[in-house]
Amino acid sequence: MSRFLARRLMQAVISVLGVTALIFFLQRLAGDPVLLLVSEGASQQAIDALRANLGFDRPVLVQFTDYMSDLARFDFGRSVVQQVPVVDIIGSRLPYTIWLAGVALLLALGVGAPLGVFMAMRRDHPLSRLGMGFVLAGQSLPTFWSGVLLILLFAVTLGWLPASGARETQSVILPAICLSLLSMATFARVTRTAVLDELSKPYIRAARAKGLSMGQVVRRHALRNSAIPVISIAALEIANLLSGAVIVETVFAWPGLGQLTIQSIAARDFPIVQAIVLLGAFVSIFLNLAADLLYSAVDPRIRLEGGK
Amino acid sequence: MTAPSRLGRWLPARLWVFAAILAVLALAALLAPWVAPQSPETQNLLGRLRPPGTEVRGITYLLGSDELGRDLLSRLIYGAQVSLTVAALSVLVSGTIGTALGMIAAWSGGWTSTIIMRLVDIVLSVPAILLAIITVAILGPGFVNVIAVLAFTRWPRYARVAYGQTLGLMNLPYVRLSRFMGASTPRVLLRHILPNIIGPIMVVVTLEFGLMVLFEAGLSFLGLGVQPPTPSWGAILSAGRNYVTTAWWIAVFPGLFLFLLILSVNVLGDHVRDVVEGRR
Repeated sequence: MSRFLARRLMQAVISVLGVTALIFFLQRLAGDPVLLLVSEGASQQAIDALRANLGFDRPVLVQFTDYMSDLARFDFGRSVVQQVPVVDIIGSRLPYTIWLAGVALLLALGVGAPLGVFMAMRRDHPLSRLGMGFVLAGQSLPTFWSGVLLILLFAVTLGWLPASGARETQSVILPAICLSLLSMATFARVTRTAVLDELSKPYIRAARAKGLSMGQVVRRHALRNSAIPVISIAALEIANLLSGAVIVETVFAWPGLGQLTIQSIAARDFPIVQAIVLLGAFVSIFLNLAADLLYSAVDPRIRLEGGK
Repeated sequence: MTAPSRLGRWLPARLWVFAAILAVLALAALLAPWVAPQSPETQNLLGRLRPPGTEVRGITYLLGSDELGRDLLSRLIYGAQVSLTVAALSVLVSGTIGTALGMIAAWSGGWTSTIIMRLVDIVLSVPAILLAIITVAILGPGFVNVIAVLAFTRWPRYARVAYGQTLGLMNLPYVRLSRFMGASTPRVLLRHILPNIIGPIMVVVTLEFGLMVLFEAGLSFLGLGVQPPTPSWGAILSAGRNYVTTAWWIAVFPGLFLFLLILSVNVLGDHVRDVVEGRR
C-alpha cells in the first residue's frame, strides 16, 4: 500500500511541476509575452516599460525560476488591468463557483445515482428506457444549448426563475441544473452498470434463495459494493463540473471563476487566466489522486495490484 | 421473416436514423453552395429577426432569419462545414501525432519513452477545455489556430492507446522476425505494428470526434473559435442569446443541429467500439 501511495504521490507532484512548466513555456513559445498584455496600438515605449516592469527583459531561465518560486509562495502576480493581486480577485470569485458546482454535484448525484439503481433493478420498465435515453442524450448535450433552453422555458416563458446573475438565492437553480446534466447522466450510467454487475454475482443469488426480496438484496448487499466505482467517479466528476463552469457561467452571467476566465481573456489580463488554468489543473490532479486513493482504500484488490 | 440483410448485420436497424442524420449533415456540408437557399452572408435589413417560415420579397426563411436578416438555415448549412472540417482535421492531426509518438515511445523505450509518456500525463492532467482556452488565448482565435489547439490538447489520448498496444505487439514472433531480417524501424512500425493497432485507435477517433465538434462549438460560443462572418454553430448560438426573448430560433436551431450531430457520432461510435472490441 505505501509503495503504491508513494508512487502515485510522486506522479501527482511531477504532473503539478510539469503543468506549471508547460503553461510557462507555452506563453514564451507563442512569442513576446508582453504583447499578450498590452492593448493594440500601444507605443513601443509603453511596451518596453511594461517589459522591464514585469521582468520580461531578463533571461528566460531566470524568469522561469522566479515564476516557480513565486508560485511556490502562492504568489500569482498582479492583474494587469486592475493592478490588484490575482489571488484577491480569484478569492472574490471562487465562492460562487464552489457554490454552483456544489449544488450541481448534489443534483447530479441525488438524481443520477437513484436513477441508475432503478434502471438496474427494473431493466424493462418504461421509465428505465426513458432513463437510458436521458443517459445517451445527456452525454451529447452542449451546456450552452441546454442553458439557453432552460432560460427560454423557465425564465422567459414561465417566468419562474431568474435568467442570469447571482442576486437571488434561486438564481443558482438554472445554472446548477444546466451544469449537472452531463454528470447526472454519467452517474446514472455508472451506477446502473455497477449495480447490474453486483446483481449478477453468486452471493446475490444465494441471498435471494435465502428468501430476501429484491429490494432487500439491493439495499443490504448490492448497493454497498456497487458504491465503489460511483465514489471514485464522483471525484472525477467534480473536476468536470469545475471546468464545465467556464461555459455555464458565461451562459448565465454567473460571477464565478469561469466568467472571470473569459472576461480576463477579453481584457488581455493574462496573469489571471494563467492562475485559473493552473488552479484548475492542480485541483484536477488532486481529485484524480483522491479518486485513485479512495478506490484503493475501499477495494483491497487494487491495492495488491499496485503494490507489486 | 427473412434473415437480417448484410446491411442489417453491418449496422443494426435502430442505428439507421443516426447514420441518416450524420449523412444528411455531411452531405449538407459538402454540397453547401448548392443546397443552401441563400448565401450565408447576404444581409437583408428588411428581413431581420423573421420567425421560421416567413416570406419577405420572395425569400422564404425556412428556419427564420437573424439580426442582420441573414437566412438562418443557410448559415447553419455552412456552419456544418466549419463544424465537420474542424473536427475532422483536428482528429486527423492529433491522431497522427499521438499515434506516431505513442508508437515511438513504446519502440524506443528509455528516456524517449519516459519524456513522451510524462508529457502525455501532464497534458491530460489539465482539464481539456481550460487548456484549449489558454492556448487559444495565447495563439489568438481563427480556423487554423483552433485546429492546432485541439490537436495539441488531444494527441495524448491517442499516444496512450498506441503506446499500450505497441508494447503488446513488439515482442511477438513476427515482429521480431521482421527486425531480424533487417527491416528498418519505420518499416516495422508502419507495416507491421500500425495495421494491428489501428482498430483501437479508431475507437479513440470515434470517441474524440464528437468531443471535437463540441469543443469547436464551445470555443466559438466563447468568441475564441472561428471568427465571424464565417458561420459557426457555436458563434450563431452565442449571438442568438441576445435575442432569446424576441427571436428564440437563432439560439435554438444551431444547438439542435449540434446536439443531433454529437448524438449521432456518439451512438455510432459506441457501435464501432462494440464491434472492434468484439462484443457483438
